[in-house]
Parts: sequence; C-alpha cells; structure tokens
Amino acid sequence: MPTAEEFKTIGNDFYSNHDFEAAIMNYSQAIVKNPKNVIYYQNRAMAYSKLGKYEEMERDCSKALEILPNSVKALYYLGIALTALRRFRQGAEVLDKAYAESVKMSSALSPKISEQILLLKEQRHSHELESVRRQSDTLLTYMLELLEKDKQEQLNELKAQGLSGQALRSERQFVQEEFLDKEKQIISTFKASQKGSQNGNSAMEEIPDYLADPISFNLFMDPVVTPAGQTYERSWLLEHLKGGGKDPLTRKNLSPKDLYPNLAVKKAAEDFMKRNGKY
Amino acid sequence: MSYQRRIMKELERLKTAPPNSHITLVEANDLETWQIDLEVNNDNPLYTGKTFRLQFIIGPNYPVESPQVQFMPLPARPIPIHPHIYSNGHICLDILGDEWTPVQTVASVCISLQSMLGSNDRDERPPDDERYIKHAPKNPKQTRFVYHDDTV
Repeated sequence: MPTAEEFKTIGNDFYSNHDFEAAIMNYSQAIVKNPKNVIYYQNRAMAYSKLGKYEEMERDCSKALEILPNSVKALYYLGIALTALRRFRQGAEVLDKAYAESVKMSSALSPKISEQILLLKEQRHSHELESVRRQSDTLLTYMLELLEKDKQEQLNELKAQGLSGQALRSERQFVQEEFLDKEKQIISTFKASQKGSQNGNSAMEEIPDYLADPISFNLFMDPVVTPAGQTYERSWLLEHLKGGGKDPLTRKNLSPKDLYPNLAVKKAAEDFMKRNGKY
Repeated sequence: MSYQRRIMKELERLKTAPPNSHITLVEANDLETWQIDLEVNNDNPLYTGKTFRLQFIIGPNYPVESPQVQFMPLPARPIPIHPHIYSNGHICLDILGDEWTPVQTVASVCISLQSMLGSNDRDERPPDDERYIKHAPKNPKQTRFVYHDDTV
C-alpha cells in the first residue's frame, strides 16, 4: 500500500496530465492516510476547480484552514471558489486576509491574489448590474401586461357605447394605434435606462494611465509610492524588487521599507471600479 | 499565469495603437512568440528602405524578467548591420539584459532599437562577430554581453 506522500505524488502526476478525476482519487487516498496535511486538501481543491466543482473546492480549502488558519494558498483558493460561487462578500473578506498574509510573508502569490481581488470586484459589479436588469425586465413585463389590460377595457367600452359597423372599426383602430405607440414608448424608455446603468452615465471609460500600475497594467488595488514619487502596485513591485532591489524607472536602490501607501490613488481607483466595474 | 493579463493588454495596444507607423506586429499566435517588423523612423541611409524582423519570446516570468529578443533573418528581412548586432541576429543592448525593468514593454524595446539603429553611422558588425556566432547559445539571454563601447 502506498504512503500518503506517494498517493500525493501519483495525484500530482495525474494532475499535470490533466486527468483531474484520477488526481482527486489519489489525493483522497492521501487524506485518508493522513488527514492532517494541508497540502493534500489544497491540491485536491485545485483539481476540483479544474472540474468546475467549486463547492467541493470550498470544502477542501476550509478543511485546510482548520489545520492551518493562515495558509496563504488555502485562503487564496477559497477566495477563488467563493468568487466562482458568487459569494462575493465572503470572498472579498477571505481574499483581503489572503492578501495581507501573503504580503506579510512576501509570498510570490501576492500578485495573483491582488488580481483575484480585482476580478472579484469586476464580477460583483456585473452581477449587480445583471440583477438590476432582471428586476427592470420583470417590471417591464408587468407594465406591458397592465397596458394590455387597459387596452382591452377600452375596446370593450366601445362596444358598450353601442358603436357598430364603420364607426366601431375606425374607433377600434384608433385605440389600437394609440396603445401600440404607448407600448413602444415604454419599451424604449426601459431600454434606454438599462443601457445607461450598464455604462455608468456615458460610454464605458478606459482605465486612465494614472490609475493603472505600470508593471501589471492593472487598475491599482494597493498602490505604493516610491521616494522618486512614482506609484506602483505593491505586490508587483515587491516581486520585481526581489531580484536586485532597484527602482524600475530611476534604477536607484529601492527597499520595500521605502514604500508608502498612496491612499489618494487607491481611493480614485476604487471609485473607477465602482463606476466602470473593470480593471 | 499571473502575467497573462498584462501580456494581452500589451498585445492589444500594439495591434490597435503601435507607437509609430514603422513598428508593425506581424503575428503573436500563442502570446509567447511575437513577430514584429521594424523600420527606422528617420532617414539614416544605412537602413532606409529596409525592413527588419524582430522576434520576441515572452517567458513565464515576463515582465519581471526581460523578454528574449533578436532579429530574425528572412527573405527580404536582413539582419541590420550595426556594431552591437551580431550577424545571427543577437543584440547587445543593456536594457535586454541587466538593465531590464518591468516598466518596459515590447513597444518600448522596439523604440529603443529604432533609435539605436537610427543614430548609428558605422556600417560594421561587432569586432568579435565571427567568434561569437560560432559559439553563441540559441537564447541570446544566456550570453553575458560586455556592454563596451558606449560611443555607438
């Protein structure tokens, strides 16, 4: 019988060959042999994510976190699972914690986590727009039904007035046309308001250069300013500084302790995300 | 892949808004290998009327690590003659090696090469060309170029 570590190795081999079902089976065997190793849960979580099984992924991440509450990788994976499951509020909390831990440990995962935080915000934004749109669709259907009812009532009234022949036909046509106009107006008003809310107020804005990190090209999430006055996204700059420690623009020595958060840019970037929902 | 987004954004910009009309993206099928046609954007008689083919290989750690850049010899795409360009297409340029920083881009490298060619008036290869190409590694990044002769 293979040991837990051997099962993990076999699982990893299946994983790299994209046989995720078989990988999961082997990680599960490893977990049976040794339920206290976070790596087995983390690896199985990743295999589940490849199969789109985010609930299982979430469960494995939570188990890993029971064993090792500050595991950066488990927190990050849990954040991915919660994003996919559209549990945005919880996902944002988890990812914030993952990011803080990751920066503290100067883990190479920091850039990925910061990107996942932006992705969650983007998806939350479009999710919110979608639900607003669905609500307004329901309202539109309701309005059209009311309009139809009103039309029928008016048509019935014509008959009650005792009209007949040519007079009835022309009155009927008049009512029909009037209501067709109203229907068109209602629909176009709704469409216009939907379009407006999708695009913010006007057309979708492009990310201005002053809100985009010059290394990742992403919208700023945790911007820091260097002594030269240049602003970078913290995690990407830290990755760069691991190899040599020079300011990317001035090429002067730069140490992580020289960096200060750029709160004004952070606020401006958050505002941009709120309005445009993209990074 | 953490850096995929930056690479895609760079590619998109290069396609839709190249830095000038003498830099043309030819293809970038897999996001990893980019082919770019380059011309000088002045009237330097050494290079006017000629088009050169650049190849960028974007590694998994780009832009933290520099891309692998060289000229490619093709029909109607010669290797430009320059004291810092070897006849196999390898380029001796500090920003492609030790002086690379992640704020640089494929486009900014193209501009640097354009100005390196544009300002050159010596119709010659590096002095050690023959020796170098005999033993050159496939990947120019494995060469420890000595950045001598700053006058060029």
